[in-house]
Amino acid sequence: MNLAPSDLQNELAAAARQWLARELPVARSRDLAAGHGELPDAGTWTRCAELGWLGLGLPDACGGLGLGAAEEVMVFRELGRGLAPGPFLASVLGARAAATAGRADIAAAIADGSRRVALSLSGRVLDGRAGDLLLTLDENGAVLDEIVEDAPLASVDPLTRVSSLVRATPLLRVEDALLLSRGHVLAAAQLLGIIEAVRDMSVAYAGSRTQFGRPIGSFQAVKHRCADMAVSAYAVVGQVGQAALYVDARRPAAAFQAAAAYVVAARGAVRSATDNIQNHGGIGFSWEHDAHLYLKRATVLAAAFGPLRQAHRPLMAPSRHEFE
Amino acid sequence: MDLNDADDLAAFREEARTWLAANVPDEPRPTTPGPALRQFDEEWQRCQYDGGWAGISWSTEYGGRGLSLLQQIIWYEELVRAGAPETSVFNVAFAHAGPTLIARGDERQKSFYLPRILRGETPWCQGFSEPESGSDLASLRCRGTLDGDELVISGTKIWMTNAEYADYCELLVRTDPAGDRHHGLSWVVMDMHVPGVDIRPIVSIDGWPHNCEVFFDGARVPVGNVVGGIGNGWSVAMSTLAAERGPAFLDTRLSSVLFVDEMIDHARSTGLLDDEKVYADLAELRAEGAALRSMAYYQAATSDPGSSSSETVAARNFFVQFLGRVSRTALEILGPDVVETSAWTRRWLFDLSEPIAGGTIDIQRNIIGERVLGLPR
Repeated sequence: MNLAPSDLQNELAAAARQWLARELPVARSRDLAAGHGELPDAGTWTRCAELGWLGLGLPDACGGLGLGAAEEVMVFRELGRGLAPGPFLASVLGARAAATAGRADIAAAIADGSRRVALSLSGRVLDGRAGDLLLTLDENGAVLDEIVEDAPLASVDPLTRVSSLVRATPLLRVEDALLLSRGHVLAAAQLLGIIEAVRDMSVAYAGSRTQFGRPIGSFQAVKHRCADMAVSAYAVVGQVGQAALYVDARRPAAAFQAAAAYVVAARGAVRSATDNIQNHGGIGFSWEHDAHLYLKRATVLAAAFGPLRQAHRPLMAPSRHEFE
Repeated sequence: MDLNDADDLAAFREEARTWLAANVPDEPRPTTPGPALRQFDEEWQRCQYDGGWAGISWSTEYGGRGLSLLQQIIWYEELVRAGAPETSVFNVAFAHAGPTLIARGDERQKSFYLPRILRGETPWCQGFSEPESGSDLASLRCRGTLDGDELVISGTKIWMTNAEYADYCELLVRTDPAGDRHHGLSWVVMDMHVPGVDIRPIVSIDGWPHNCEVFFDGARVPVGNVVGGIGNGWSVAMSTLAAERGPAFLDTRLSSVLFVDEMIDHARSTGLLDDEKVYADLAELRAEGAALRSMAYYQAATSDPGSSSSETVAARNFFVQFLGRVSRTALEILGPDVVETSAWTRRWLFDLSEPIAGGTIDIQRNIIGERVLGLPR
């Protein structure tokens, strides 16, 4: 097993990072959300699809690039880092579910951006509207429905649309126990991006903000919180890569490794994003600063598949922690 | 990132597993201090030597096995899985002294000391810390005064693990009294059996004398035992610390990962696994244990062997956080049984040394903040 990203994988990430910084910076996402427009707008979503982000792991026949989860996590890490709004997670999973179910047409429509897939979460819809597809995951597979009507709810995360499902029509059901594990891996990659983003944000602020005549980063209380963020990122990055490879190869320990990545990433991201607010002091508590957006996104991702404790089951399933 | 293994790691794992299954000692390592302990470690080391498994990270040029980083990880995984002894009086010799001699020793030093380590004949200890120089190592005061072709050692070293079993010590002394901090230090091979070396074991909080305080009062050592040249001790010591990189301590970490399995078994047998909090805590420890392991694989794949040890420091930080949670959960599972000394209480108490030994974790977090993240001092 080689956990070092290849040149291609690094290039994918670098390209995604640059594109997001240029085309979909947090300031623009804030504007879209404040204007009650689509998150993101149709043009941006189509361009993300054209970049291949929604079909990286799909076979060519379904309009994908035929790559793997290792490539997907490189892009999702950047989506997390850049707080990109939109149903990326559910669309990638939904396209795979459709492909597995033999519906190449639906998979291709998702991959080319013409159909979005929202995530179903205990009666709520994340990032969906009428006409979108709706993905409901469980431990055995997934269901794809079509949303007929939903009703907006007040979202804790301004960059995530939340609504309650009023009516949907069933589309397909697919049995694939590893689909949820794929979700764990992709969410873990986004959460990793968040940890890295708040780490860098905290370090930049702690190095420039001066109090008592010195940069606050010279104080151990602040420095140690920054160090903990770096440790957290480092603990997650290898695990996400390993889980991606295991899930793609459908190894026996795939669900275990994926759940491990998700749990460690979720804990690390929520804690790091919380500490990031503290490191910024008063300005970190303000709406205008982005710190709260990272915490809110991390919290949504940590709840995206139901209570985090549901991810404990695959972790406790093996009688021994196998080293293979 | 890919699952392809260039040098047939599956076959290597099988080879290691087969050898360990046939050779790991059946009897446990002695649980009381004394000569039987050293003898046990000597025999196990000799067995590994005879099997071709001594000095797995050392280059073959110096009698080691020259394993790749990934192979070393697999060796440690299999070692722990086979229930091999978890520690040894040879730890310092293999993890510190040998690699330092290989990097900075002269031919005479290498040809004399290295084979004796590999064959399991000469345990080493480390004489760096002093009563007044803990995290601030560069403030050390133990003297090495030049007298003809000998150094005369005077001063006190402390926290020398297994010093009472060691034949040699990697000793860091101040040979230039005018030298300030990192300057004027020398790294010298000290024979622990010469006159003027007084070794006093220190009993730790788990009741075991892990460490010693050693008083040097005019002990003499030939100048030829200085490694890397007089006055270069700091840079030699740093190469010693650099040898701690890589998976050298992975067996300790993986042993803690497998201890979580034991905790799960115990909680199941007492019905405590039905408690939601205990179940959740154990599941999260399983997740962190997996991350601990993949950190080793990630580091092996991505670090430049000549680069700084920042990733090692980060891995140790995560391990220490993990251990704290392991202990907390273990005590919860033990419940009232905690009042009685057991393997679990000994582990809990010993693990309190992990955030201290080898540099306190507080200073290590400063190092991450300053050297990795570039925060001001």
